[in-house]
Amino acid sequence: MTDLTLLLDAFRRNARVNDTLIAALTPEEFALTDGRGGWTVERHLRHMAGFRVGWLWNMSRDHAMPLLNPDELDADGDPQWRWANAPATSLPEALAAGDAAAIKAVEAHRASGEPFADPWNEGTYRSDPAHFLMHTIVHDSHHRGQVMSLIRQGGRTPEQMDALDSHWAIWRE
Amino acid sequence: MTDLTLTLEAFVLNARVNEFLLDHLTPDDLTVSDGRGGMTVARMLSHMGASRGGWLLEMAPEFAASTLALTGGENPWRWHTTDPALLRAMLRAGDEAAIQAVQAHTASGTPFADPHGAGTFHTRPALFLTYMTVHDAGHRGQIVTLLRHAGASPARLDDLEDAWAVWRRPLSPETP
Repeated sequence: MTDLTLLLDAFRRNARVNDTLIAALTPEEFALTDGRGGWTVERHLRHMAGFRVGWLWNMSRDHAMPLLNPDELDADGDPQWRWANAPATSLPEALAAGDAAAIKAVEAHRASGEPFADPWNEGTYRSDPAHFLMHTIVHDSHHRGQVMSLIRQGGRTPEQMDALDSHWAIWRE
Repeated sequence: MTDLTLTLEAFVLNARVNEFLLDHLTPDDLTVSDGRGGMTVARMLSHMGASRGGWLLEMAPEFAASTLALTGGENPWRWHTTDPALLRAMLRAGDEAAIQAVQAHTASGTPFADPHGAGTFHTRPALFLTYMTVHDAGHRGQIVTLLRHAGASPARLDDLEDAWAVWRRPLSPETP
C-alpha cells in the first residue's frame, strides 16, 4: 500500500494555512460578499469545514459522528453538525475536528480495505480513500482563493494582500 | 525514499482539471478582470503555468529550459499570453519539468537550491508538486469568481463544477 507520509504532511500544512487566513481576517471581513449573490467570506469558510462532515456522512458515517450532535436534528432529520450555529470564531475548531475525523476515516478504510460508501454514486475515491485528503486540500484552496478575492475587493491594499500572501511560505518549509 | 505515488497521482489529476477549465473558457472569458487592477483570467492562467518554471529557475534551473523556450527567454514571473494554445502548452511543459525535477531531487536526496532564502521545499522536494496543485486551485477559485462577476450563468458555473468529479472518481471513463 502506498505511504501516506507526504500527504499527511501536506494536510497538516493545509490546516495551518486555514488557521493563518482565519486569524488574519477582521470581524467585518467575515461578512464581505461580492454584492452579486455570491457567498460571504464566512460562508466560504463554513462550507470548507462542512465539506469534511458532509462527505464523511455519505462515505463513512461512523467517522462523521464525532462531528455531529445526535440530540439535535437538521431539516432532513439527520444529526446536526456541531458547528451549524456556532459563531465564526469557532471555525478553526470546526476545521480541526473535521481534519482529525477525515484522517481517521482514511486510515481506517485503508487499513481494512473497505472502500468508502457511495450511496449517491458520486464517486468516493474508490482508487484510494487517501484522495479524499487531497480533494479536501484542493477544495480548501479553491475557496481560500475566493476569500482572497473578496477581501481584495473589500478594500485591502495591495501591500496588505502581499503580506497575506506570505502564508504560501508554509508550503515551502 | 519518500513514496511519491499519491502526490504524483494528485498532480496528474490537477493537470486534468486545468485542461478541463481551458476547454470550457471562451476567448472573451480570458479578458475578464475585477476592474480594480487584479489579474485577468488569461494572466492568472499564464501565472499558473509559468510559476512552475519560475520556481525551477530559482531552485533547479536545469529543469527550467522548457518554460524559457515558451517565454522566449523572458522571466517566467513577468510572462503572460492570451493565446489558449500557449497557455495549455505552458502548463503541460511546466508540469513535466516539475515532475522531472522532483523525481531527480527525491532520488538523489539533494535539496532544491535556495539562493534567495525564499524557502524551496527543503524538507521534501515533492511538496513542490503539492504547492503547484494548491496554488492552481486558489487561482481557479478566483477565476470562477471573476466569471461570476462577468455575468456567467448559473448553468455555466455548474458546468465548471463538474471538474470536481476528477478528484472523486479519477479512474472512471465518464470523468472529464
